[in-house]
Amino acid sequence: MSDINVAQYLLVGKDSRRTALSFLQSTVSYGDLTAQAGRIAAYLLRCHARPGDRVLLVSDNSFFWVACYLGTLQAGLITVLIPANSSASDLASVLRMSGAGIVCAQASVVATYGSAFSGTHLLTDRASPPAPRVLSQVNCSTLSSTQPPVTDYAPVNHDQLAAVVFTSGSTGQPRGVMITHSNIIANTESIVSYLSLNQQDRMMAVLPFHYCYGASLLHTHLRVGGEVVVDNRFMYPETVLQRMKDLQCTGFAGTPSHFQILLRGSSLKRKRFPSLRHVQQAGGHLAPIFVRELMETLPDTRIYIMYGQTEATARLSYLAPEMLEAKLGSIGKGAPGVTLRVLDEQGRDVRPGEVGEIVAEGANVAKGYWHEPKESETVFRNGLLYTGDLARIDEDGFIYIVDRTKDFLKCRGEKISCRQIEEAVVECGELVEAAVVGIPDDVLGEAVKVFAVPRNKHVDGLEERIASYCRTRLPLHQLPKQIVVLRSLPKNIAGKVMKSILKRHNTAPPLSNIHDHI
Amino acid sequence: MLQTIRKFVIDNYLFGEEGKLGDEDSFMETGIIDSTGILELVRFLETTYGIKVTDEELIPDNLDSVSKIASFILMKQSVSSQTAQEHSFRSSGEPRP
Repeated sequence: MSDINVAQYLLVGKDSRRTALSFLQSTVSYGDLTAQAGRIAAYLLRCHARPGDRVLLVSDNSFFWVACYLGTLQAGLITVLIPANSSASDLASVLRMSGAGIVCAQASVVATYGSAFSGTHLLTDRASPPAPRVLSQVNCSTLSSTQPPVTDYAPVNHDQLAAVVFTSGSTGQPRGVMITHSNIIANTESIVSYLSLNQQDRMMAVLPFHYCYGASLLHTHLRVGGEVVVDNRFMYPETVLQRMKDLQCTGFAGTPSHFQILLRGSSLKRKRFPSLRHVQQAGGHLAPIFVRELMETLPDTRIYIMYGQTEATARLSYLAPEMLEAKLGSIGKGAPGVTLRVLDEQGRDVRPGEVGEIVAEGANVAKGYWHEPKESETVFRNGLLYTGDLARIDEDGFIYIVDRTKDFLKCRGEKISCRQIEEAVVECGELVEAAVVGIPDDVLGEAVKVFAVPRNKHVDGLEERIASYCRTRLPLHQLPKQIVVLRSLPKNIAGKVMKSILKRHNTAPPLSNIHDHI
Repeated sequence: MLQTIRKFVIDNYLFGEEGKLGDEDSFMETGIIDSTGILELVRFLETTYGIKVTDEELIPDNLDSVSKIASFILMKQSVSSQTAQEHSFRSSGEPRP
């Protein structure tokens, strides 16, 4: 196990003139990033923060976010990560749960929710109106003139916390996952090795850094001295694609939703990306029909299908691009340094074809949930992570996720995977995506309800066309009893469909902008 | 037109809270609309104004505020009426103006 400070691991030994981060209007060199992180560390120590104190970071992807993150780690403090668009109540509860005494927040968050920060020291990314009852308030852009940077890195031991990351679970309550410095380093080493990243790599980052997948892009590319291109405009995919071309990005990473939008609502198929060496897909299951389209669209790009959890820092497995065709639908095998097993209820390895729970072991497995010993004991047992994901394994050891433990419906007493039905429905060709939930049914126990998002505006009679397509694909008891056409599915910040919201859905109000903010 | 667009955005993305949206406010900066939301907005514009928005036109310059959308639609409508006019001149054999 490593006992190096993550900030040191990522920043020391770099060519200070090389570009670390590219923003729309500016670039930041490794030298500038190191200096700014050092200034933030100095500021935090000036607030009398002591090792182990928590610092809440709430901002969109920006130089401010990265400098605050690294500065917090450099000072030996624990960064608490939540989305910038968190609601006032989420902010308040995370502040309360984490006990953070210092908050780094972008000005727009302060303008909206300033009163949530009373009693804390507040650092903002730019000038911001005074927040009520804070202990102090400092504009980060003034630090450069007033604050000599700290240049050393706080010593850490192997299980010292670096971050508490609040997860965006698609079921249940949000929880803070405790990630150590050595967790991050172990996972970064693993990802760098299987992606063969080097300092020529330039990653287009549209994923938020507070999300473990987004953070992994930052960690891996900074580690190898590469460049992270930050673009928060994915709502206009054309602008992102054009920038990828202009800057000759070598990598792109997205969740299923990103790839579905790129394949069905952008010029991706008509553009050429000669510099694009690899793309990464994680954060949920991308239906095989989309993976095939992606392979056809980017024939010269290595496509990595990956699987992970915040509870494992980020990454647990990957499917090597050369196996993509042969093992379509698989999440591959354990990433370097990670052992993945599929166990039955008695804790024995399942035989090929049988379904069991994925259990992980590795130096990237998190320390537990923040202040939730009972839940931690259930999920983290004897150094193993019980993922809650059900899977089968084939004769060659490749793992196929069957479903989230809770993403089943019980129909005629039989457990049916929602994902299986979703995959069948989306293959009707008229949809961008579909989600399935169970509804109470007097005869079946639970029946299938489908929420379908059309790819174009010709929705007249779509329900009937989906129903007839399903009749050609699904057994009788799995046929949808209800089909609802929606303009979009409610998703959390990690892009996962919020089934809990769909289950409460009776009519068809606009669902497009409902987010689980944590 | 401004009012129709504003109403759609307020009803669908701001849960009807009218005071929160100025005509010049950037959807991106305010975080009002996300990536699937913008596709939905485009579908609405296509249906309501009889225009076709290409993938390449899905950029902030055209769509990132109520007023930008209004100018974009006016531009699209004027281009399409010009094309229609040219088409009718050609098919009736009259010289182009």
